[in-house]
Amino acid sequence: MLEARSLSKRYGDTLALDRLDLTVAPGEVFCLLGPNGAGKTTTVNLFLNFVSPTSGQALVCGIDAEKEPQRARRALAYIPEMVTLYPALSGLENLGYFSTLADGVQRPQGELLRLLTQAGLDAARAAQKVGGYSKGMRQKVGIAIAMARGARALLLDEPTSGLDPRAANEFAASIDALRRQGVAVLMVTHDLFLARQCATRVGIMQRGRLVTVLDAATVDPAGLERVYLESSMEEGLTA
Amino acid sequence: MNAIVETLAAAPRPQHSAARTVAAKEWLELRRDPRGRLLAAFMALLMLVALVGGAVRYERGHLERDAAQDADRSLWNSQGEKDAHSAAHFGQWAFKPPSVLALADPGVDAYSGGAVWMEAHKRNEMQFRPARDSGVTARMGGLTLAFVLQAVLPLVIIVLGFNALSGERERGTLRQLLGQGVRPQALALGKGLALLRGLAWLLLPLAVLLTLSGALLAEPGQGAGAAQRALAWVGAHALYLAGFVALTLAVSALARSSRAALVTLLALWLLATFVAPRVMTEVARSTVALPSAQEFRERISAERAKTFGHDETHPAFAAYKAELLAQYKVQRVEDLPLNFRGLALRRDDETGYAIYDRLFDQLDAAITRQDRLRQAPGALLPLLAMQPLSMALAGTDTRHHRHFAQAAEAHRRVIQKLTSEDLIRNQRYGDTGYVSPATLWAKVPAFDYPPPSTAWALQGARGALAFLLGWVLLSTGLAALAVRRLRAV
Amino acid sequence: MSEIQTPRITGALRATLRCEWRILRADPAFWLVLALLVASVFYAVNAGSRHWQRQAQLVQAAQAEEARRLAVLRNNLTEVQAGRVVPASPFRDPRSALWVGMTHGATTVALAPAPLAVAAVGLSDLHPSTVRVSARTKDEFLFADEIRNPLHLLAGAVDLAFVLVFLLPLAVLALSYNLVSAEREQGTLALAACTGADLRRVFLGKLLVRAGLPLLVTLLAMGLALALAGVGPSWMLAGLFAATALYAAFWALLAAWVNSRGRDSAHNALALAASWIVLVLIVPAAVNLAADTLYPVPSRAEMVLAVRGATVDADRARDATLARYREEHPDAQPAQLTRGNPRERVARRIAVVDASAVRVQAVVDAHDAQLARRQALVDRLAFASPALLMQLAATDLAGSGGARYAAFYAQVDEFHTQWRAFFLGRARDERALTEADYAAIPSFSRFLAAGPAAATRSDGLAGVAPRLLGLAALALLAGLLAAHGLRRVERR
Repeated sequence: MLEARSLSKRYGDTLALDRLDLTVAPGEVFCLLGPNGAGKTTTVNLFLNFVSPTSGQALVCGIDAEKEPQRARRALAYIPEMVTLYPALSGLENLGYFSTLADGVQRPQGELLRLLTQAGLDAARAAQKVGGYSKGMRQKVGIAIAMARGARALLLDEPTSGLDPRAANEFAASIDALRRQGVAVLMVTHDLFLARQCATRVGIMQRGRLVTVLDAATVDPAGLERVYLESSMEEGLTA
Repeated sequence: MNAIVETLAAAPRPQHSAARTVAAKEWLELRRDPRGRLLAAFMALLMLVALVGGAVRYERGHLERDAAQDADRSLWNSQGEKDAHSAAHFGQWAFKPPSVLALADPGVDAYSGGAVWMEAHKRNEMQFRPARDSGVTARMGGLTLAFVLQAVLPLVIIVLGFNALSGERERGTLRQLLGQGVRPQALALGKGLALLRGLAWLLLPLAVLLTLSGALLAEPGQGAGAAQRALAWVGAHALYLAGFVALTLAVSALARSSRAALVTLLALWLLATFVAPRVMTEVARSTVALPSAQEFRERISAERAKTFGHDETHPAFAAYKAELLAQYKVQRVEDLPLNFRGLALRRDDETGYAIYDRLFDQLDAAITRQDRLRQAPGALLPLLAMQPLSMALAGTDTRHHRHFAQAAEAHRRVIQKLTSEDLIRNQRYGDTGYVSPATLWAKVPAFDYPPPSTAWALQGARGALAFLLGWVLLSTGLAALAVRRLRAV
Repeated sequence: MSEIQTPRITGALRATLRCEWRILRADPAFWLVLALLVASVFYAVNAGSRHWQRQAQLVQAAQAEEARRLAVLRNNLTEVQAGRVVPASPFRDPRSALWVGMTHGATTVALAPAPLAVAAVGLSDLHPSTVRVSARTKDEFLFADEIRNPLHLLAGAVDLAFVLVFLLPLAVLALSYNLVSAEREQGTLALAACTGADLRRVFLGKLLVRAGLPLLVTLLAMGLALALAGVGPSWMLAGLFAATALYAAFWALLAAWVNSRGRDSAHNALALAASWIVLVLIVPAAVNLAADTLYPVPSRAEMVLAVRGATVDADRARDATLARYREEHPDAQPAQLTRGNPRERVARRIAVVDASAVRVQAVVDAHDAQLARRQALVDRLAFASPALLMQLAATDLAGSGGARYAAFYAQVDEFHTQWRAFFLGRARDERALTEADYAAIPSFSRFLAAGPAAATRSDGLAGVAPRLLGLAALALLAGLLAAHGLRRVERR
C-alpha cells in the first residue's frame, strides 16, 4: 500500500506540496485530480524518490522511500505518461529487458507473450519493433511490465492522455484486473471520466494541498465535474 | 490471471545480474544499429589495409636491409691485400634491421637514421632519415595500425557511447529504469560491458592476425619474440581503449544533454590526440636543450685533441712512446718486440672509446630526459603514454635505435682490434710496404644484430605503462563518481 | 511586382546578417571559439619564429666556424711559405689543393629562409640547417643531419600551417554545424519559410556570419602576428590569405550542404566530425600509404654501397696500373708510382674520388627520379583532400616545401661541381695553393650572385597556383551541392 504522512516539498520559495496525508489501501484505486502545478507530479516523484521531501514521509508497503529508495522502488511499479521503450527492440524484448532488470529472472518467450496479451496487446504485434507502436500499444507494454514484476503498489501518471476512447477503455479494464489482485493503485489524471470509471476514491489537489476526497461511488461524472470546478473557484483559480 | 501469478511464483529461475541484463540488451541494440555495423565494417577495413600495408613495408625494408648488409660484407671481404689501418678507415657499414612489429607501429624509424659507418678513430652518428625524402605530406601521418587504434578507435567509442546515459535520460527510459529500482552503477556497467564486447570483436581477430603476421615474417628463431610483442601490443591498446569507454560513460552521465556530451568528448579527443602531443613536444624541447651537431662535433674534437691520432708531434704521442720504451726496457722503438705503429693506433682507439662513450651517453641522457618530460601528463592525456609504450613494444622507439647504435659501436671496436692486432704482431717497424693478407678481413665476424626481448622493451617503458594504468584508473574513477550522481529528472 | 521583390531579397540578406550577429554575440561558445583561434594563431607564429631563430643561430655558428678555420689556414700558409713551419704531412699542408679542398677548406652553404618562413616549419627540421660542401663525393656531406630528438620530429611542430590545416576547420564547423537544424528544432525555420524570402539567401547570410567572422578574425590575427614576427606584405602572404579563405569556405559550404539534408543537430555534428576525420586524417594517411607502396622512398644504402664499390674498384685499378708499370719498367719507378709514397697516395685519392663521383651521381639521379615520381603521385592524389592541398600550399608559400629544397640541392650540386673543378684540377696538376688561390676559393654567395643555371633558380612557388585552384574547385563543388540542397530545405 501507499502512504503519505504529512508529506511536504518546498522548491525555493514555492511550497509545491503542503503536508499531504494520503493512504491507498491494497485493492484500492485512488485518483488524484487537480490543475497543473497542484503538486500531483511532485507526489509521484516523492514516492519514487526522484526528489527528497522537505518534511514528512512517503511510504511504499511500509518502506520509507527516502531512507530505502531502492527497496521502495522494487515494491512499486510505475507507468509514466510517456511509456518510453527501446525502438530497435520488439515488444517482447522490451518486456523481457525491463522485467529481468527488476528481479533478475529471465522469463521464457511464452510467458512474455502471455503477459503482453493479458495487457491487451495484439499477439501478432508483440514481435515487431517498438519503433512502430502507437501510444496505446506502448502503454500496454508498460502495463505488462508492471504485471510481470508483481508489484504490490502501482503509480500511474496521466495514463490515458493521447489515447483514443477504445484504448482508454481497455486500459481501465487492466487497472480493474490489477485492483482485484490486491494492488494499491495511485493514479494522477486530468480525465474525470476515467476517474469516475476506475477509482475507488477520488482526491482533488489545489496548490499543494489535498482539498477534497470523495468516494467515487457517491458521485456521477457530472457531479464530479461540479465538485472539481467548485474546488478550483474556491481557491480563486479559474478553470 | 491468478493461474499465471501462481506459475510465476512456483518455478525456480536463474538469477541474472542487472549489469549482465543491460549488457545483453545493449549488445543486441548495437548489433541491430546500422550505424554500429557500418562503423565496424569500416574499422575492420582500415585495420586490414593498415596491416597489409605495414607487412609490405616491413618485408621490403627487411629485404633491402639484408641485401645491403650482405653487399657491404662482400665489399669488406674483397678488399684484397691492403694496409690493415687503411682497411680500418674503409670500415664497415651497419644497417639497422627493421623490427617486425614496425608493421603495426613504425614509430620513429622514419625519423631516426638507419645506417652508421663504423670507421677508424671515429664513432659516427646514425644517418639517412627516410622521412627527409618523403615530403611534406608524410608528416600528416601514415595509415598504420597504431594510427587506427590510437586515434580512430577512441572516436568510434565516443560516437557509439556519447549518448549512453544522456540519451536514456532524454528519451525518458532512464526515469523508468531508475524508477523500478535499477542501480545506476549496474546500468553504466552494463553499457560499458557491451562497448567492451564490441571492442573485443575488433581487437581479438586483430591480435590473432598480428601475432601470426609477426611470427611468420620474423627471422627464424625470433618468431616467439615477435608473437610476444604482438600480443603485448594489442593488450596495451586494449587498456588504452578501455579508459576511453569509461571516459565516454562518465561524460555521458555528467552532461546536461547528448549534444553537450558529444561536443565535450570530441573536444577532449582533439586535445588528447592532437594538441597535447605537439604542445608537450614544444615544452620538452624548450626545457631540455640538445646540443647542435656542430657543438657536439666541437666537443668531441676538443676532447680528442688530447689524444694523438695520426699526429706524431702530439705530446701524448711522445709520452706513450716513452712509456712503452720503459715498459719493454729498450732504447729505440725499432727494438720493441711488437710493432709500435700498431700499439700506438690501439692506444689511440682506447682513449677515444672512453671519450665517445661519455659524450654519446650525455646526449642520449638529454634525449631521454626530454622524452620522460613529454610523457609526464600521460594519466590525463593518454596518448602521451600510449605512444611511447606502443613504440617500445613494436621495437621502434629511440631506445631501440640507441641499442642498435651501441651494438654497432661494439662491432666497430672489434674491427679496430683485429686490424690493430695484425699490425702489432706482423708489421715490422718502418716497413711501409707491409700489407695485410686478403684473408684477414673475413676473420671479422659478421655483424649480427638480434632484436632485444619484449622484457627489455617493457623495462624501458615502465613509466609509460604506469601512466597508462593511471589513465584507466582515473577514467574508471571518474565514471564511478559521475554515475553515482546520475539523476533521472 | 519586380520593384517590390528586389529590395525584399537584398533586405533578407542584410536582415539576416544583423540578426545572426546579434544571436551569435550573445553566445559564449562563439567568443570561446574565437579566443581559442586567436590564441592558437599567436602561439603558432611565436613557435615558428623561435624555430627559425634557432636555425639562423645554427647557420651563423657554422659560418663563424668556417671563418675561423680559413683564418688559421691562411695564417699557416704564410708561415709555411715563409719557411718558418714545415708541414708534417700532405694532410696538414695548407698548400695541398687535395686536402684543403676535401677537408680543411670546406665551405658552409645554407638555404636562406623565405620571407614567410615563420608560417611553416615544413621540411626544415628534417634537412640539415647547413651543408658543408667539400671536394668529397656528395654522399659524404649531404646527409650530415642536425641533432634532433626523433620523437619530436615524429610529433611535428606547432606552426601556423598546423593551426590552419587542422584547427581552423574545427572552428568553422563548431559554429556552423547546426546552421539549419537549430532553426528547425527551435521552430523558427517554418516561420522564416512563411515570410516568402528566399531561404538560400537567409542561410548564406547566416553562413557569412558564422563562418565568415572566424575567418576574418583568423586573417587579422595572422596578419598581426606575422607583422610582429617581422613579416611584411608580399605575394606569398597574399597567397596564404587566399588559401586560408578558400579552405575555410570549403568547410563552411560543406557544413551548409550537410545541414541541407534535413537531419537533426546531433546527426549533423557527427557527420561533420566524420568528414573532418576522413578528409584531414584518413585520406592523407591513405595517400601516404599509396605513395609508400607504389613509389617507396629509395634506400640510401644503395648510394653508400655504390661509393664503396667504386672505391674498392678504383683502388684495384690503381694497383693494377702500378703493377703494370712495375712490369714494364722493372728498374725505374718514379715517386708518384711507388706505393706508400705521399704523391702516390694523393694520385690514388684523386682517382678514387673521381670514380666514386661518377657512380654516386648515377645512383643519386635514379633516387631523385623515384622521389620525383613519388611527389608527382602525391600531387595528383592531393586533390582528394583540401587538407592536403592546404598543407602543401602553406609549406610552399613559406618556402620550406619539397620544391624549394629540391631546387636548393640542385644549386648545391652545381656549386659542388665548380668546387671540385677548382681544387681537384689543381691537385691533379700538382699545383700548390697560393694566396691568390685562397682569395679565389669559390663561395656560395658569389655563385648565387653570378646566377646559377636557370633550371635551379626556382623559389618553389610554381606548385602553389594549382593547389589554390584545387581548393577553389573543391569549395565551388561544396557550394554547388549546398545551393542545390538548400533549395527546398524547409520541406525536408
